[in-house]
Amino acid sequence: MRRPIALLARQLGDLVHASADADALARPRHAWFIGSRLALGALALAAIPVMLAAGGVPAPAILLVVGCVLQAVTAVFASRTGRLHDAHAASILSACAALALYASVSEGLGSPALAGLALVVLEAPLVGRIRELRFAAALAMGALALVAGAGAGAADARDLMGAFGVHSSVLAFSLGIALLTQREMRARALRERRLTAHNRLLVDGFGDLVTRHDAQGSVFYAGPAAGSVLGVAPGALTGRGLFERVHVADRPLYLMALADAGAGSALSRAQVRVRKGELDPAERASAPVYAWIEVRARRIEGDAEAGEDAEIVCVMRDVSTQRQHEAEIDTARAAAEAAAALKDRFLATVSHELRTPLNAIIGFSEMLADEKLVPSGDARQRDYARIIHVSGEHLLEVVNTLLDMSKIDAGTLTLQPEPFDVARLADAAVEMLRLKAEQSQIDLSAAIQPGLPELVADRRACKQILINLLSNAIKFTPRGGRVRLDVRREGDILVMAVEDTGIGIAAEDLPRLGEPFFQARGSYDRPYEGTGLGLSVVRGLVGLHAGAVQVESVLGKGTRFSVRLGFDCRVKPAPVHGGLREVLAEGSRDRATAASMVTSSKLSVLSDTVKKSA
Amino acid sequence: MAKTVLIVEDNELNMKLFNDLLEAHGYHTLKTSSGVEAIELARQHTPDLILMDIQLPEVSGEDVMQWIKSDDDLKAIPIIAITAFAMKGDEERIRRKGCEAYLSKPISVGKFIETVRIYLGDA
Repeated sequence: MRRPIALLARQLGDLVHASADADALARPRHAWFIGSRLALGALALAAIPVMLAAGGVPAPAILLVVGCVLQAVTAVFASRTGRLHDAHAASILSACAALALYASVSEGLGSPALAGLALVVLEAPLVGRIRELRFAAALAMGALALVAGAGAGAADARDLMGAFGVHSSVLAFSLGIALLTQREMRARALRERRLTAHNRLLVDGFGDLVTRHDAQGSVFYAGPAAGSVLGVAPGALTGRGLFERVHVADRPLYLMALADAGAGSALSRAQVRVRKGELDPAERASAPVYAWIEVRARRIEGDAEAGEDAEIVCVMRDVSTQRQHEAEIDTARAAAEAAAALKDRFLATVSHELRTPLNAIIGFSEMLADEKLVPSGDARQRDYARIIHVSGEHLLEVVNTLLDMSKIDAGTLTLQPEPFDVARLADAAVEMLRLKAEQSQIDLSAAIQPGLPELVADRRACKQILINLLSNAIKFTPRGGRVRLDVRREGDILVMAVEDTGIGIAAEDLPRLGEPFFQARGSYDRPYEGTGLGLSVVRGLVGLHAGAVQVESVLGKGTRFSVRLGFDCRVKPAPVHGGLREVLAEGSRDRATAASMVTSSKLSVLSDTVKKSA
Repeated sequence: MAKTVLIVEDNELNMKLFNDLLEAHGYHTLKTSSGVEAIELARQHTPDLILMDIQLPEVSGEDVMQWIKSDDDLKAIPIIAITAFAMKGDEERIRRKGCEAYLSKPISVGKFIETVRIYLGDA
């Protein structure tokens, strides 16, 4: 039995006007009114063929049929407009009129149909207010009086008085019951309203959005917090409204939470993205905004005796900020861990770089100092002393690089700009590395544009830049390869480019290049010596000159580093900077893609699919 | 007959140091800076001992040690790993690759000779 009743109740619920949704107590009144009136109408229409089959419709019965159909009309009116009280009044009026007319034209006060008047009064408090009850009682009495008046001439006065007395007593009794019912219902409504208001106050106090779902998950109530949580009117969430706002990817999760809650009594939780409202029409055009919503769903048992299904109540809260904070913490932790790992690697690398020359220094000096191990012959002893000297110099170089880097990092390195001949500086840098290149059988050459203007910059820094780039190029170029320094003018810019036929740099490593201590391979299987600070120093020194470093590389083919400086580093940085951008933009058009553009102190990375000029 | 030591080291100055120390103690040396060449030399000459640097171009010394120790003809040759990696965990990791001994740079000449002698059976 329960299922069909529940089904019917749901069907009826759909007929109730939306305005009744706001008040939980109004809904059942609407539903009852519409349902009962429609049933009466249907009954009357169904009776017509039965009466026809039984030998024709008696004329008075037509009045009853019309009365019942009018009842159905008031139901339709209530369903379409939601104006229950008006519909109720019309219903009372038409019912009393139909009953009175019917009784008058048939059996008068003796008609059993007059019992219907008592029903009209009894039913009034189930639908309407005290006003409708009074109206019903007055109309019923009026109708009774009308019937009595109509029958006055024909019937025996004593019978008439008796019947009238019985009918009015029944009506008065019914009115009494109805008044009691009315009072009881009012009290109940008041209690429930207080309770609801209390609950709502609590829930609103928490700022959480409360929704009530039927067993299918469809929303039939959404709390006023819909506005503050999701930026929509509660009505926008009813039916499938809420579901359709849930992010497509999170819908299974959302449905699972509802299903879990529906299946058991435990609280089920889910965090889902829900599209925020577009109350502001300006937002409607832009991309949808999603809020992370924590949904806590619980099943609430219905009144089984009344045929009510269980419902699911969800409490929803915006946890976007919380999630964002969690994500920020994760990012910060990852960054801290990465920094710690980098520091460990740096320490390992620095330790390695210091120990390698120290090994030669300590080993050879120990041999020289040891009677049994010292080589005979001045030449060999001098050779040992030379090795100790060279190793010491190398050690000093490592230490200086470290100091430079830490000064650049701390911002305490200040430039000492002076005018100088950049061509001579470039030649000197190449000569310094000539020996190292020859040892590795690398063809080292320089192409310096004649007639370059004087460069105003920190001379020592510029020399360091060139030496670091050249020694890097030599280090990462196999035997028989080529390293070329190209110095020329491009408009207001001096370009110093070091190009090699070395191992190249993988595309994924390009962006990290120049990060302190980064060498493109893991430290333990690194085949190349070096602290990984050379490029960091270059980057830092070029940055101090408001210049730019640019790298193009093809793995296994070679690398080209270009340093771009303004001719006077004291002229900052607008014309230089603008000029740089222009030149680089042009350059990037020539090449396949530009992975990233230049800022003054960052390494810029051009595509690794660059064709090297032969 | 003098015993032969194969030195695998890519830093020229350190190579000279090890070479001169060993020659001063009457040992023959074979020298290479390449891990691949080290395997070839080991096969040709079957040295009595290998000194192995860990940071090498192309192939790392750790890999070369593993190759030697998984080769039936070569695995009997003792290996002394000599490396400038001296951070926590480095020794343990390198020892796991199968070397017989581990020395960190900078070496002490006395300890170096002593270790070499132990593994050449001259101690």
